[in-house]
Amino acid sequence: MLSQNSTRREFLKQSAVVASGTLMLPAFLRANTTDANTGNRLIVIQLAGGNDGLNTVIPYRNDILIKNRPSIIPSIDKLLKLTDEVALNPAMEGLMHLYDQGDLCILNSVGYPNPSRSHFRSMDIWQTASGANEYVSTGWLGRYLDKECVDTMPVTAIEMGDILSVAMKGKERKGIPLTNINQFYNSSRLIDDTKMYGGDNPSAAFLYKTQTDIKRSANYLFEKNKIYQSKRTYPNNKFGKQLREIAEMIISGVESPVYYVSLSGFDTHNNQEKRQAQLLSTYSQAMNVFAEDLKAANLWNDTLVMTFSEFGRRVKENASRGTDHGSGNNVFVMGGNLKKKGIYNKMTDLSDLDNGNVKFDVDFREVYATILKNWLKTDADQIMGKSFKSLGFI
Amino acid sequence: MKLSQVEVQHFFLRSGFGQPFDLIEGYIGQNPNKLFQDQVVLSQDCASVQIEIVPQITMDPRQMSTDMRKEMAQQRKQEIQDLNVQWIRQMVSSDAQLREKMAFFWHDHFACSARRSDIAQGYLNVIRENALENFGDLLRAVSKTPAMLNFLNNQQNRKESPNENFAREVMELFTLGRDQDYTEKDVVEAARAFTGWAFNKEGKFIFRKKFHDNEIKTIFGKYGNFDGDDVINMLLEKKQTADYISQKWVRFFMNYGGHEKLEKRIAEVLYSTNYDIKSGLEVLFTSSEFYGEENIATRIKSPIELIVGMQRQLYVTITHDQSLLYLQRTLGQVLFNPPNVSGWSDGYDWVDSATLMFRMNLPQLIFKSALIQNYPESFDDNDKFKLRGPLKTLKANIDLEAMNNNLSQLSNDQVGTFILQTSIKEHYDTTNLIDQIIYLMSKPEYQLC
Repeated sequence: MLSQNSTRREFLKQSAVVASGTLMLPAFLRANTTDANTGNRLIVIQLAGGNDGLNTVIPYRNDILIKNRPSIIPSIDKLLKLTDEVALNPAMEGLMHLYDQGDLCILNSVGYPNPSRSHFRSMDIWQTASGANEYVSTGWLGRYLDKECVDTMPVTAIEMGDILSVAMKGKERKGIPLTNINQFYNSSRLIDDTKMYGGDNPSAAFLYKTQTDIKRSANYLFEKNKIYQSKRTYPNNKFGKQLREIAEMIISGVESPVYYVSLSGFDTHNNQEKRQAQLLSTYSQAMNVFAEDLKAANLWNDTLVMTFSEFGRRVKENASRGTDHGSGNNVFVMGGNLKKKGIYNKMTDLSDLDNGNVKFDVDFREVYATILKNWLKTDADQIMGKSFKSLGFI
Repeated sequence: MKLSQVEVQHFFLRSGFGQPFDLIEGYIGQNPNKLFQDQVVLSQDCASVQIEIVPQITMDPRQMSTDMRKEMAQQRKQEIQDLNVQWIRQMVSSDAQLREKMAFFWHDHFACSARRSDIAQGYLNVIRENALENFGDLLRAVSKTPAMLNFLNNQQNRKESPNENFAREVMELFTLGRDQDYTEKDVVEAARAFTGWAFNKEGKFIFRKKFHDNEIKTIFGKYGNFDGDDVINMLLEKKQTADYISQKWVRFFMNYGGHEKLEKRIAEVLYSTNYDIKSGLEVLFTSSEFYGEENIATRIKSPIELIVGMQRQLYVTITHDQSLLYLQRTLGQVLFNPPNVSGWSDGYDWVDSATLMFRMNLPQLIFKSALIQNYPESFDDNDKFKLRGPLKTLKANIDLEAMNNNLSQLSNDQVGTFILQTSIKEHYDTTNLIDQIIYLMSKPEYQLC
């Protein structure tokens, strides 16, 4: 840990030279050294549309699965076998590699009671960490930002994309959505932050403060931008570019505790095999290159990547060689510092279904609570609104 | 009480979507009652929002070909988008501003999303027609729309397997407010009373007798063989319903923080008039509290208020359907697509770094028709508001003549006060009216109303 921290400080020093003339850097360095946070960072990856978990981590010898899915299971000789019972989808060589290195932990049957099969509702539940009957307007990471962020930090948390997910919205603090740093910087240029607001209208004061924060974040990111440029080959698509940008930010010394990115297209009601394989291949290649990048910079050990999807899909395939909305799914956790490597819990019991859907074994809020408590070293109970048990993967 | 320019603007920004300067000017020095009564008269008119709907094919979906199903889904998606755009155009062009604003409020209060355009249109016209009349009638009518029954799963609410969603939200969101004056047991029992409320293939409300639980229920301490109408009547009998509605009004129309005394006065009138909406609103919009300085320009315009308001105030018309959908999506409020059953989260939540920068760049985009680079992605294959690729231009028409006639003779301070709801003291270059307007609209204060 010590060596990684010193590496990062060196980067900061270097960038301080590059970023000469800015006032926020010293304040930010001070904030960093007094912060209780260990410098661990979290990357959350959302597979949007409902990834078919049973065709991602495949219990390939299970008779029930084989009987219910005559056309969509990839042929057995192509599967990437993890054990005698379990294999990864053939498109996931990158993830297989991470598994072999002990950088991957697979949690099975993650879900929540009374699951919703609506994309919007279930995504809302995952992002706000609410129960199925509750409506919450802040996200679990937003509440983390509320608790841990201080004004001197130049960035709160970063989401790759045009729209901020509710996951990243707190009551007081919000993550920063951006397509890429240059575009963010360019649109921030019209902000004139030399004019301070002196009136007593609280809403106007809030807007002026927000624009000052934007300007400061945009300047900070622009100055850090491309201190490090990756020479590695990421998948040549939007998700690949986003992961490259995150790696470059981290290695360039951007101090954001959380990054959020989404890969969409998993709503495979028809012709699933090819569509899903393409997406899984993008995902898994990008993750592998990302890990290589961070390892080479000695930053993989204080990085944790968590991947989820709003729901899994029905066990039985439909008539269009696809699958319909289901429940329960795998969650992937990656990093150089895992306590539990490989497969975390038993595979889903396909002989015990709820109306054709898998039952959940691990509540997703336990996964969040574990990450908040053991990784981000914060008060998980407060952020989650109640106490959830810690799982031992980290 | 004689109203100033700012106060007249305050009334029109909150009770409607804003007005052009010439109309504002005519009301300066009048009293709040005159403004309100004029709006009531203008709002007697209720134009329905109608789009052309290709009739639903009554064929069993299992017998359709894949192409046929796809084509139908595409058609419905297009129709919902048309309905969304038509409604926005109506907000922009209608003189019945009080009705338009109230319909918008009720869409949030009775938040609902639908995939079928015919039932979405039915729901919309129920809230439009009842927007200013009687809350009890509105509640009864909305509760029986197929759109709402479907959205809150009452189609699945049957005697042998009750679904509590509808009964819960009727209490929590529509009438009493969360955990106010009802128990978990009341929800369970009321769900039994609502069993059998459903709709048929033609999109009409039906009571399915064989699914209705015809036994004794205990609701709010009363004992009887109640049905859905009985539950709604019991909810309207509770004073808490009037309290809850007036609290929501004050927070939405006047101040995020509420105002206990005024809420009580509104609730009294609402309850004693058997829920006459106009009478309740009259108390609000003619009260001296409403015009208090702490309420002026403190509300962050919701995306719809921003998009509609700028077209009403500033001689601009966004002519392109896709542009209107883009703006809603990027700013985070799409009609017929609330984030969940509890509606949109109002207030400071509209603002994050991306939406604020987009809002501040928007005047440039509109007046200079620049390229829009953002394009929000969707995760649902069937998302009815899915967008494809970035928008090339934001197409808008500007009525330069009207703009010049109305604004070019005004002092800088008058134009500033008109656009920003506050007097701005700074000096800026004003050689060109459009540049001046863009400059003012790009200031943070323009986000407030």
